Amino acid sequence: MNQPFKAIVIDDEPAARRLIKNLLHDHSTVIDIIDEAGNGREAIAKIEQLKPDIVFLDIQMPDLTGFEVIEQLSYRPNIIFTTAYEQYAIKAFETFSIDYLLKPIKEERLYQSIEKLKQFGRLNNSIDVPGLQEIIKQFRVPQKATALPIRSGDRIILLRFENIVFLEAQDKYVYIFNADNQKFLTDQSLTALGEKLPGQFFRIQKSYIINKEKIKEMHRHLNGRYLFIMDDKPGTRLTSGRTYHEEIKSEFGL
Amino acid sequence: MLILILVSSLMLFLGLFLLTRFHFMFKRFIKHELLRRNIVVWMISICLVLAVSPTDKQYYEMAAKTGNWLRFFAQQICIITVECLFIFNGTYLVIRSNWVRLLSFRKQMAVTLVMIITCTLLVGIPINYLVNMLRNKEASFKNIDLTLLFNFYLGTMCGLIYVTMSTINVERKRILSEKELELTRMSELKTKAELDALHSKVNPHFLYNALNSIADLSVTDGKKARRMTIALADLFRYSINYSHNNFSTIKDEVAMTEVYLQIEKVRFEDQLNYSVNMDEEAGHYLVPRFILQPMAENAVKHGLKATGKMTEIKLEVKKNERGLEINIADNGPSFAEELVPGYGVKSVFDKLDLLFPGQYEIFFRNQPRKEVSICINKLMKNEPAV
Repeated sequence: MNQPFKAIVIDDEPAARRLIKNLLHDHSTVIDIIDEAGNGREAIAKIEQLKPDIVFLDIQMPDLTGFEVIEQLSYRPNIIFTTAYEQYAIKAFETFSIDYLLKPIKEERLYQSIEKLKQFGRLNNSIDVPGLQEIIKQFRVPQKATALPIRSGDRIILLRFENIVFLEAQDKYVYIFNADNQKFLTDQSLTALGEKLPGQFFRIQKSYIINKEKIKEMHRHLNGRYLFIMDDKPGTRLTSGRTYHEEIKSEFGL
Repeated sequence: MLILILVSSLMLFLGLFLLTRFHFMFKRFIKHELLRRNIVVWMISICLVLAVSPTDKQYYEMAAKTGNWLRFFAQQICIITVECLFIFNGTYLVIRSNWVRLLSFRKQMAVTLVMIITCTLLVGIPINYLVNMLRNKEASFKNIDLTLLFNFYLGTMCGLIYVTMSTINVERKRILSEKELELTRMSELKTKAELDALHSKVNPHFLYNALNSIADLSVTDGKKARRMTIALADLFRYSINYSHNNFSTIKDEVAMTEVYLQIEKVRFEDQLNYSVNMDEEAGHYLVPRFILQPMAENAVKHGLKATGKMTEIKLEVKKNERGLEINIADNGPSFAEELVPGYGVKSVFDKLDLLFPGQYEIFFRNQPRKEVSICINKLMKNEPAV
């Protein structure tokens, strides 16, 4: 009989690691658990040092994800992912026929993987992490930002996009106004903020960005300028810049 | 004399009544909109002019001679018919033309006013001429200055009435549509929040991981396994049986968060510790249901990021003069300046927006300690009826 495969179990929960160790106890002639790790950094160090044949790898860990761990390894062991609920990751594993175990772990499923290992000597060739992540990204609905974080003294406040009416640049600062005409100061530039804001925000002048969904009225003004009356408490009036004429025309379909 | 006053008043009321019903009058019988409007305008004018006729000196002069009396009315009616048809259609033509319709409301009103006055003056000149011809049997522009002045006043008056009515109408429509919008938005938000509330209850990831722990503990530590199973059952009972309650007392919320933290403590054994501190007098006040657990879950996640040290979660609930203050602190890495709210924080915002609009604040703080604060500036003991 050959030497047993050397394995490392990586999971942030001690009980989860113990479960795998106990389940594999009866198969110690095939798999020998030589060590375990409770977070990503520890995992990388131990894999590099001990060079196991097989790694049971949790995907969700506080410091690094399982994918990030693999990316940082110079050594390529066989990987069996363990996961609780990453539905998109599971779809990706199926696509690449990568071995994975669902939590709570079923003994039969675990023994299947071991049988496979016994038969072929190894599991999957190498895991193409960027390819895997690309597929996961395709499956997952991207999480859109919904608020703008603003520092105010020692606090960070989240201003929800739907509550922002307009932004006004003054010197090096920008004031952000909400519907109650409260203002919040930030030292980020208007251009930088503009990049973080979603499509409903629109620049109408050198020093103004407005929320298109918070316009109450829009009037034609002189010289290709437009007057915007905003839907806030005082009904703020903002005039667009002449140079923004074309953009405004196409943006509002005028 | 009495009859005169009665008839005049009747005419006045009829005229005003027609004026208020201008947009609906005869809509069923007369399909052609312009024709309908012409008829209604004509009726209104007749009524109003007949009502004010007794203030005219000529009326008494004519009335003195029997027979002329009817002629005077016939004459008045003819004049009114011509005048109102000309003024109405002239103005209508202009304000319905495309270039006017594109103007702002105020400009439209100004154009209408000017048009009414101009048309009134224009029609006044030939009528003055004709009246002179009829009465004095000689064509002349006698009294033209008086007529023009009178017509100017008349036109201004009519125009102002029109402008006032339009403004009221626009305002009413705006308020109506605003209310409607608000209502749909409210119901939309409500259903959305309710759905979210249902879905966001307990993170499935957490459930499966907890079950995985139980799978191990059932063999290695039966007592712990039992405790964890019971805690998990409590948590799910709280989240599943929410039965249309949008609110929960802060005491219940804290109790459930404690149950959640207990489970996490079992899962992460020697890596997690927590403390709960609640003002007793704050316990009975209401907060949106299930806002604390997502915040605690975030704190645990953040706290565990700092590996190699004990994660400390501190939950505090205080009652201050303005309302409730809830602080959840962890000792993980600082909040990033570029904080992106995840699903948990978003759902807390949604619930507070819905149930305490404009009465809450959420802060993220790194100094003096890392914590999230939720301030609800309203103390509520009974759930409001929806």
